[in-house]
Amino acid sequence: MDRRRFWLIARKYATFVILCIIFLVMFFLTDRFFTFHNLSNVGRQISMNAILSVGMTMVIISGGIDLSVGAIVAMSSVVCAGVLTNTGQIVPAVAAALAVGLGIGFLNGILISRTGIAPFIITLSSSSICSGAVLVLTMASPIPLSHDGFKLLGQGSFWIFPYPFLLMIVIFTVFAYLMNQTKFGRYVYAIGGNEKASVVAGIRVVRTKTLVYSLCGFLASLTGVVYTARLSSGVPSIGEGYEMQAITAAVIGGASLSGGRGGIWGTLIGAVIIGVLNNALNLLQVNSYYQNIVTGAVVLVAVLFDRFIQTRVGSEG
Amino acid sequence: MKTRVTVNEVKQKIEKTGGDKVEVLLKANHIFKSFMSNTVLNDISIELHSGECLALIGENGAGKSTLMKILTGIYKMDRGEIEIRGKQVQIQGPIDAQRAGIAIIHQELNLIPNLSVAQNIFLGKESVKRGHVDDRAMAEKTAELLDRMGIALEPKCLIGTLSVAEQQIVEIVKVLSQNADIIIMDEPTAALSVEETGRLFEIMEELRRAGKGIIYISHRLEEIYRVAQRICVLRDGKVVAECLPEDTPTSTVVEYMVGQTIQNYYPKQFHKKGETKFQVSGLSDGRHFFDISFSVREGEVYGIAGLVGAGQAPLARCLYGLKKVQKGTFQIDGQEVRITEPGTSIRQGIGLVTENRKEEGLILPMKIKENIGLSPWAPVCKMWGIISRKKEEKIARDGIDTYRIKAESVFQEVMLLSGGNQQKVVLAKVLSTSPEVVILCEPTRGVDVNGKVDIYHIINQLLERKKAVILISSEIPEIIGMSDRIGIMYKGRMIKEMTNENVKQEDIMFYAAGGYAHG
Repeated sequence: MDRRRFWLIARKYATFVILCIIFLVMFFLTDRFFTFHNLSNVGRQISMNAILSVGMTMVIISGGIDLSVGAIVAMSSVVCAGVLTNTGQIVPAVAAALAVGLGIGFLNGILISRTGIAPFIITLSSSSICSGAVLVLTMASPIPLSHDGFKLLGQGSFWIFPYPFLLMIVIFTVFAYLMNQTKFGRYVYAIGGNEKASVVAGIRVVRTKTLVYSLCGFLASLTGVVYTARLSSGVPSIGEGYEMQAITAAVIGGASLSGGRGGIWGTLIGAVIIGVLNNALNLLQVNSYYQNIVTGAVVLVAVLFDRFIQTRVGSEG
Repeated sequence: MKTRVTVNEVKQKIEKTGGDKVEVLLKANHIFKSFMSNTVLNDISIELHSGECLALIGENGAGKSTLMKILTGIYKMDRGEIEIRGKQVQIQGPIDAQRAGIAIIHQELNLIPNLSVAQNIFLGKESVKRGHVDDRAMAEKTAELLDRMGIALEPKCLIGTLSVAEQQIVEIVKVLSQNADIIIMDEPTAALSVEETGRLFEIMEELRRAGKGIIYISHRLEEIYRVAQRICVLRDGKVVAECLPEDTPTSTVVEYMVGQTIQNYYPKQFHKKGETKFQVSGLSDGRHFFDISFSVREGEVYGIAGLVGAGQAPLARCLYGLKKVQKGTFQIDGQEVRITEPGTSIRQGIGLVTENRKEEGLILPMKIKENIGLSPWAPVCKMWGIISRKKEEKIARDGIDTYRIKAESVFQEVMLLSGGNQQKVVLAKVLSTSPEVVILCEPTRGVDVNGKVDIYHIINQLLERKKAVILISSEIPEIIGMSDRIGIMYKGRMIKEMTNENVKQEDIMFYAAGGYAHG
């Protein structure tokens, strides 16, 4: 009995411990890691994948997957840049981009929850449609921007904190509250944990799932806006493979692809681990080709550890 | 009261009924198994002889299925030995069991509907010719097997097109093709008609003559008296009696099964009945049940009895709006209401405890408090859907106290609770929305004896608070023990309604088995 509890606690804090170990190792290996410049740089890099991962985490907790977020990032980047070039105003540009993300997410959600077709298939096709549409709209050429105010969103800082980093903190706080302290969050966990039982409990599963995918699309387009500001350009080729990075962060953070388990703060740690690891390997002048290998290995270790604990805890009733 | 049958008696008997050279096929010695602190098997020993059909009976939760899962390698025992033909074997997994010649035919069939009879029988051990699967050779072998048993089935038929009984026969053939000597049958007749059951028994008789040993698990005593040479009764993880059917009247076997506590097992309280609370008339779903009408009053338990598959489970789903009805009306307090989905039925004051708590009752990875306060109508919010920790924990704590849930705290994951306590969490969850009409579907399935009594007390509490309760159960003693009125279903129809006065188990069985319909 007590051993079970020990493993449950171990699972809860394992990723955090790993992160601390990475920090510790870096502290001894190089003095270039713990500098304001480097850390604020890492913060800026992490924030975009992290924001994207929040939406992905919710989807995964609900028992689904969203492969279209990368394409939504590209779509919203292009839409944002396009509207900004035409109107010269930030608000309509950002609003249009966010509306696009929200809309695609909504369509994903309504298709998945109403038809019962696997989320993998639905979002795979919507991903393909979106990235195709982006190429058609732009003829595959980037839209350069020269709006200083907008550029500041991605590149500026408040004191030592880059704006994207602050945005990330806000997003995580809001969504962690949403997932942990509201009925909506409970329903998301419940649906992922046992959809049939959720229906019996009177939860409106269709509505909840639709909202989850809509929010995921919204966060993807927010990521797209931040990227656009940071690069000061609407880039059609952006976002490729981002969905995999987001899934990686969520999984390292403890989300289970079978649904019902995971957490927003865990995902933050997951995203930070990926970012810090990449930064560390850069600082240690490891060939960048090795970085993928390391990330893959980390995911593998994380899920193996999780399975190891699962067999210790057991699911016997 | 514990009785044992001597080996000689058994041998004589088997030899008399056509077996020769009786030997001990299987011997399980002193088997222990517990899940966490819950001891499920407590020093069980059984023996099976060649040419014998041993009936294994006991109430739900007595340990039958756990024992069978140990014999077939699904669970590992904590302690004990298993011998096959006098040789000790280690059964670590299903493959070991297969090698030892033990096979099981499950209640739920494990066949693949879109493969043929032959393909199913040879699944996992296909005949291969020059690198490809040789369907023709398999079909020929299957035809031979079927022929030998005198079964008229086409090997190339898709399983999905066969009746349940035919599928069951395919399962048996599959098991025989594995050269199993020890065949376990878990409630094989649950879905069979009378004629099909007869055919199954003939096949069992042939198997027995051929020197196979059969362990037959069933709740239906009259079947056991027809097929078994020996009866072994399990209760609370122990073998409480072993007897020969011809020396033991049914009533004695039932006594062994339930133990001496039979008198106060059902703490039924009678309350003054109020107005009619809930009424349905002419309910049909077009497939599982037809023209069902009944009513429940405040402070009353309306029991619905029937064999498994008589239509009670789909009826319960429709009463709660999980499925749509084709025809019929619902009335609450004399007002007609529409019931279309669980959300609306909860708002109308209906609550349902589903028959399978792990599939439809609980969110296993969630905490007790999260499960109890899950429903959108559970009063756990401050405002705008923001959960108040205080309210949530209070409801959960009240649930733990009122329903006597044994848990360390409200933060414990329900996964870690025992079956009975999980069931009480489901009850607490359903009752958190304060329903006026409570539908209980097999509320004590897989719950130990003490848990059962606790659940009966909860039913009494509901009556005290003037709720109307619909109790659906395939355990007839439970229906008799707790209901005020009883409706009996047979093949989707409510064929009899009676007031619960001096009703005997046989009376209900008579109607539930279709005795009325057959004259």
